[in-house]
Amino acid sequence: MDFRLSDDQRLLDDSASKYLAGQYSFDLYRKQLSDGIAFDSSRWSAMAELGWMALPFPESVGGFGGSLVDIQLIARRLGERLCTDPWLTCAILPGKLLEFVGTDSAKRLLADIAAGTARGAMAALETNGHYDPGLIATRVTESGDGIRLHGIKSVVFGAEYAHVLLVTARAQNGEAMLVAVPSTADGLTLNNYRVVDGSRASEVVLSGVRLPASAVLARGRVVIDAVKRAMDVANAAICADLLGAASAMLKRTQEYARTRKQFGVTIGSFQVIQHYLVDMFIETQQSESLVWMAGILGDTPDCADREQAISTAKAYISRSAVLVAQKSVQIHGGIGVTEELDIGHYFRRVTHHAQLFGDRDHHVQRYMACQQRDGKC
Amino acid sequence: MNLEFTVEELAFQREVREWFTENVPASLKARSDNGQMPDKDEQHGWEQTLGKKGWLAVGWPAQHGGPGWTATQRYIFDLERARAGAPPASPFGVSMVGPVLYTFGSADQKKRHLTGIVSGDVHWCQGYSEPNSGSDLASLKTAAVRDGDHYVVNGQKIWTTQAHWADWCFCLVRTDPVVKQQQGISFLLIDMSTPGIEIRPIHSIDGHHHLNEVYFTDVRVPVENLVGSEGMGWTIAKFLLTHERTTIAGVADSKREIERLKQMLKDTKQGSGCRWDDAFARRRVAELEIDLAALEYTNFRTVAATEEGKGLGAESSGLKIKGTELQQAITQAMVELGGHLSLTWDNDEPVGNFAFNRTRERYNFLRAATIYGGTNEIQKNVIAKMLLGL
Repeated sequence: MDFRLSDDQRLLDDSASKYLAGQYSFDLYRKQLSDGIAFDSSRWSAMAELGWMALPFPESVGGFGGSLVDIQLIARRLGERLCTDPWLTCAILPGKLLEFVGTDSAKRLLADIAAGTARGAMAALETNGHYDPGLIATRVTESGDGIRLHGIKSVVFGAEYAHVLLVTARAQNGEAMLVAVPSTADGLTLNNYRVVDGSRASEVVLSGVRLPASAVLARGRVVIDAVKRAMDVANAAICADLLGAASAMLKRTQEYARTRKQFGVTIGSFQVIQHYLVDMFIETQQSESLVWMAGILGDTPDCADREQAISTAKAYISRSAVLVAQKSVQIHGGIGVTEELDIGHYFRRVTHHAQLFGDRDHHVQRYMACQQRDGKC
Repeated sequence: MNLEFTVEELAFQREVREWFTENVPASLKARSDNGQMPDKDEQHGWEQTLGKKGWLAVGWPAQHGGPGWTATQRYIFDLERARAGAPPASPFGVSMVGPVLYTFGSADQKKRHLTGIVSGDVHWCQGYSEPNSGSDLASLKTAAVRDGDHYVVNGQKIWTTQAHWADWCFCLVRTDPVVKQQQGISFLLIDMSTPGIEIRPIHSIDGHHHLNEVYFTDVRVPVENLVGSEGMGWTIAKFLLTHERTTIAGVADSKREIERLKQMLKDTKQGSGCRWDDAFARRRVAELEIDLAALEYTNFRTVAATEEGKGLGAESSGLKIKGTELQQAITQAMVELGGHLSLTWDNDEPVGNFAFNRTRERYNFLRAATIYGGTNEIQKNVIAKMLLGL
C-alpha cells in the first residue's frame, strides 16, 4: 500500500495551489457572481500554459498522459478555492468523452481542447432523463447531404463558453449518436443561467440544426458508454472538489470555534461544538481515503470495477461533504447563512457538486446494480 | 383517548377551508406552489385580508381582538392555511409583541398598539440579537439611557428579519449596566421612523433580503414606550420563549411541503414514467412522512394539554428541534430528488419542472431554522436543564 504522491504529482499539486492562491480569490469569485460570469480568458490561457488542459489526455493528441489522480489533484484545489472556472466542464469532461469515443474526428477535436485552443461542453442529459444519459429524446435525422438535430439538451454546464457542443441524439432506428455542434450553428439557441455553485449552464435548444454528415463523431453503443465513462471521470474529480471544499469549511469553522466568544468563553470550549468538529474531521478523513480509492480503482476501462469504485466514493462523499457543510453553517450561526462570508458559498458549492452527475441515491442504486450483475457489465 | 376531531371541529374545518379557497390570492398560491416566499406587498396584503376577517391574531383571547378559539381550532386553522398555499403570518406582531403587550403592557400601550396588530396594518420587527450577543443574548449591549422623559438608545442589532418592512421594533436594551446582566435589560418599543435609525441589508444564501443590521445612534424614545418596568426585559423575553405556541413545530407547512414534493415527483417525467416510479424517491418521502407523524402526534398531545389548561413549558423546545430538523430534511429531499433540475439558480424559463428549479431557495433559507429563535443546541440545553434535571 502506498498513498504517497509522486514527485511530479507533488509539483502539480503545489503549482495548482499556488496558481489559485495568486490568481483567484473570494472577492474575485463574488465579483464574477454579481457580473454573471464564470470564465476569464486570461486565466484560461494561464491554465493551459500550466498544462491543465493537456494533462490527462494521451500523448498522441498532444496530452501528457496523466492519470485520474492528477485530475483530482487540480479539482481538489479548485474546490478549496471556490473556483468556478469551467476547467472540468469545458476541457476535461468533453475531452474525456472525445477520448473514449476514440474516432479520428473525435481525436482531432480533442487535440484542440488539449492545446487549450478550443473549449467543449457535453450536452448529454435532458429534463426527462434524471441522471441517465441513455434517456434521449433529441432526434437526429439523416439525409443525403447531412443531418438535422431537433431537441433540447438540459443543464449543459459551461455551454456558453464552449466553441463546440458534444450533443447526444437518437436516430429514428434508436441508434445513439454523438454530434459535434459548433456554437455558431444556425438553429442553435442557448438559454443561459447561473447554477447553484455560481457557475453557468444552459438549455441547449436545437431547432433543426443542419450539419454535414462529418459532424457525427460516433454512433452506436460506444456513445452512451463513453458518456457514462466521462461522467465517471467527472465524478472522481467532483469527489476531490468536494473534499477540497469540505476541508476548507472545516478549517474555517475550527478557526471560528477557536475565536468566537459567547458566555465569556470560546464556543469551541463547548462539548457539543467539539463533537461536531470531530465528526466533520473524521468525515473529511474518510472522504479523502475514498477520493484516492476512486482515483486509482476508477481509472480503468473495465466498467464493472470502475462504476463500483466511483459510485462508492460519490455515494459516501456526497453525504459526508453535505454533513460537513451543514454543520459548518450551524456552528457559524447567523453569519453562516449570509452572502458576506465564504462559508455560505462553500455550502452552495457542496450542495451543487454533491448531486452533479448523480446524488447519493443515484450512486447507491448504481452500486446495487453492480452487485446484481456480479462484477459483469 | 380519542384521536378524532369533534363534529363541531369538523364543521369549523369546513368553514375555514371554504374561506381559504375563496380568499387566498392566486399569485400567492402560485408562489407557494413553486416553493417561493411572498414579497412585501403580498405578505402585508394577505395579513390585512386575514385581519379584516378577524383571523390574523388567532391565538389571542377575544377581549383583545382575537377570535377566542380553542387550541384545536387554532391547529385546524393553521393546517387549512398551509393546505391552501397561504404563508404564515409574520410572527413579530401577532405572536410576539402582541401577547407581550396584552400581558405586560400599560392601558395606553394596549390602546395604541393592539388594534394595528389585529388588523394587519402595523408591522413589527424584533431587536434582540447583537453581533456579540447571539446565543448569549443576555450579554447584549445596546444602551438606553434615561434623559428626561426619553430614553436615548445607542447600539446595534443584527439578524433583524423584515426590519426594512417594519413600522415598529420591539427591542431588548440595557438600561442598567451595573446590575447582574439579566436584571439590567428592558423591553422597549421603538418607532422605526425615529431619527437616528439606520437599516443595512444582509443578503442571505437563498439569494434574498430578509435580514438586516439595525444601527441606533442617539435615538430618542419616549419613556411611555417602556413595557413593564425597567429591568423586566429578560422576564418578558423568557415569557415569549415558553409562551404557548401550538404552531412552533411547523407541522402544517411541513405537511403541505411533503404533499407538494409528492406532486412534483409525479409531475416530473423520467423516461416513459415519472420520478415517483423511483423506489428510492418514494422511500425518502415515506421516511419524511413517518417523521412527520411522530411530530404531528406529539403536537396533538401538546394541543390537548393546552386545552386542559396545562401551559407549554420547555416541551416547546423539543417541538422546535424536531420541527426544524424535519423542515430541513424535507427541503434537502426536494433539492436532491430533482437531480440536475434542482441546480438552476436564476432561470426565468422553466428547466423541466419549475418547482424543482426553486427548491434550493427554501433549502438555503431554512438552514437558518436551526439557528434562529434560539439555536437547537441552546434548545437542548433548556431541555437538559428544565426537564431532565441535568
